[in-house]
Amino acid sequence: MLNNIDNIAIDKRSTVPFELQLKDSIKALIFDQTFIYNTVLPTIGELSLKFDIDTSIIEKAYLSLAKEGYITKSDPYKVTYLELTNHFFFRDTTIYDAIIEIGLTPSIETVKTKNVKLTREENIDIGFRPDETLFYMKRVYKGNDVPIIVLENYLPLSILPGIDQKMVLSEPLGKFMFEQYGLKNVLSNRKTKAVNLPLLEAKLLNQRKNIASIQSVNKVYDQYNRLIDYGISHAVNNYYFEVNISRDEILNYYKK
Amino acid sequence: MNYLEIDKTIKIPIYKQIANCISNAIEDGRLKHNFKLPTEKEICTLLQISPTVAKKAYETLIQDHKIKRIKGKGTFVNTRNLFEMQMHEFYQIERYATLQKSKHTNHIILKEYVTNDIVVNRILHLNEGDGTYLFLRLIKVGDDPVLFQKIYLPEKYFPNVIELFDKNDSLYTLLENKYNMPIQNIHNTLSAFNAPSEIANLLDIEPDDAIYFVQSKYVIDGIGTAAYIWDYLPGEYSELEVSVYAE
Repeated sequence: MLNNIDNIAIDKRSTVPFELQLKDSIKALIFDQTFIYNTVLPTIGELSLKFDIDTSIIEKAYLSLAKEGYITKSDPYKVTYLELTNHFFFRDTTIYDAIIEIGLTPSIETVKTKNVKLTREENIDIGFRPDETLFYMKRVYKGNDVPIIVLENYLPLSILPGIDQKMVLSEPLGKFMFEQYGLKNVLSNRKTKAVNLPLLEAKLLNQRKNIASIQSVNKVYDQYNRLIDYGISHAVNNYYFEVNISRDEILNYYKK
Repeated sequence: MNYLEIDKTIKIPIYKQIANCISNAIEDGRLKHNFKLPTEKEICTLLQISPTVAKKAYETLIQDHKIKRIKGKGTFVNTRNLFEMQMHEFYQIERYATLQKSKHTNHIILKEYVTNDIVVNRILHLNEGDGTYLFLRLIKVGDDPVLFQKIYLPEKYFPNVIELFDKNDSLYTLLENKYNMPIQNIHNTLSAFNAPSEIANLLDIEPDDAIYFVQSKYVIDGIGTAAYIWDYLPGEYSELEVSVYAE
């Protein structure tokens, strides 16, 4: 495992407290992706020796970074800031495959399943048939056994008959739909917001209640343009995603 | 509560009647922004209905962004607009204002010269002692604060920027027109963040409310990242959309 002590810098002549400098230095390394998810940080002792400052100062900096969701809470201190998006948000990739692509071992834990009947108006609002019955499941997607995303799916039984009986709950949904029903996810529409994590989702993600989280409301359409999956996901706080805006897009807007 | 008129003899569900009454009163202006609504318990007592019905009525209105709950304070009318944009267009405030048939106003809160900020120096590849100008800017559309920005512009690329940067300038105008720097791309990372009280105050939300935190790097040919921006958008009032097609 890498130990990244040489990348961390503080300025002993600066008037900024060492604790803050250390914290900012590590944050900068995370932001510019020198330190990526799971990078092991130097121990408190190693940093104390390198900079000749008290261990309590380093401990405070680490604690503060842990509180903000950038690193783990105890030794070995590891970066928990997680880049999932390039593999998820802008490609038609499932959460399950995205977790594999970032080098983690995916697993799915099922929290709840049931058949639900929404009101006619609710079904119409979402885009289902007015009289639709839905198979509901709430599952936690994990990477290396660490919870990353809670996802609730509403699946129409008229299009996916028997899914409430057939669904293998530890399997990714996209693969299952294709294998069992020959349905492909052709279009996925995602609306995202930053929200305060509700208590239940916080517990499932090992996070504090009300911590900020990216919520995504997803609608997945098949090759026949039918809504086959309505989902709501909440991610852990340390999750982030990237949006690259090209010169063409910039000019298209400002030159109009 | 003269805006509530419930008829238990008709077929329309009671939760929907309550939601409709409040919704109509908001739309015709009888209920203003931040008006405190009765508690669910008060509604139950007044209308002789079960707590589930009152809860469902409020949940429907919350879902539609017409009311909001503030922890420990109550339930309030919410007429603030939702900043709805495509993910790739979140910076297009002028366009959003036009769509809203409203005007955007910019306010520079602070101009400062900073040196040796570790995060900024690393991102902008600055040397020790290099200075950076920091601008804090709040952007409103109508009365709604939609974006708070911390704009870092290194002195070596932006000499005299204190004089040249107008509060209404877009970063595009500043870089391309005033400094002749063609923007190659803008690289953004978005995450969720709990609002500290000073930012919550500026964005007219409660402390600890979720906000979108966007780090934007303006990349210029031959330089790399020339400008570094931290954008804060109120989470509850900002919705970014993306459509992904199978390859």
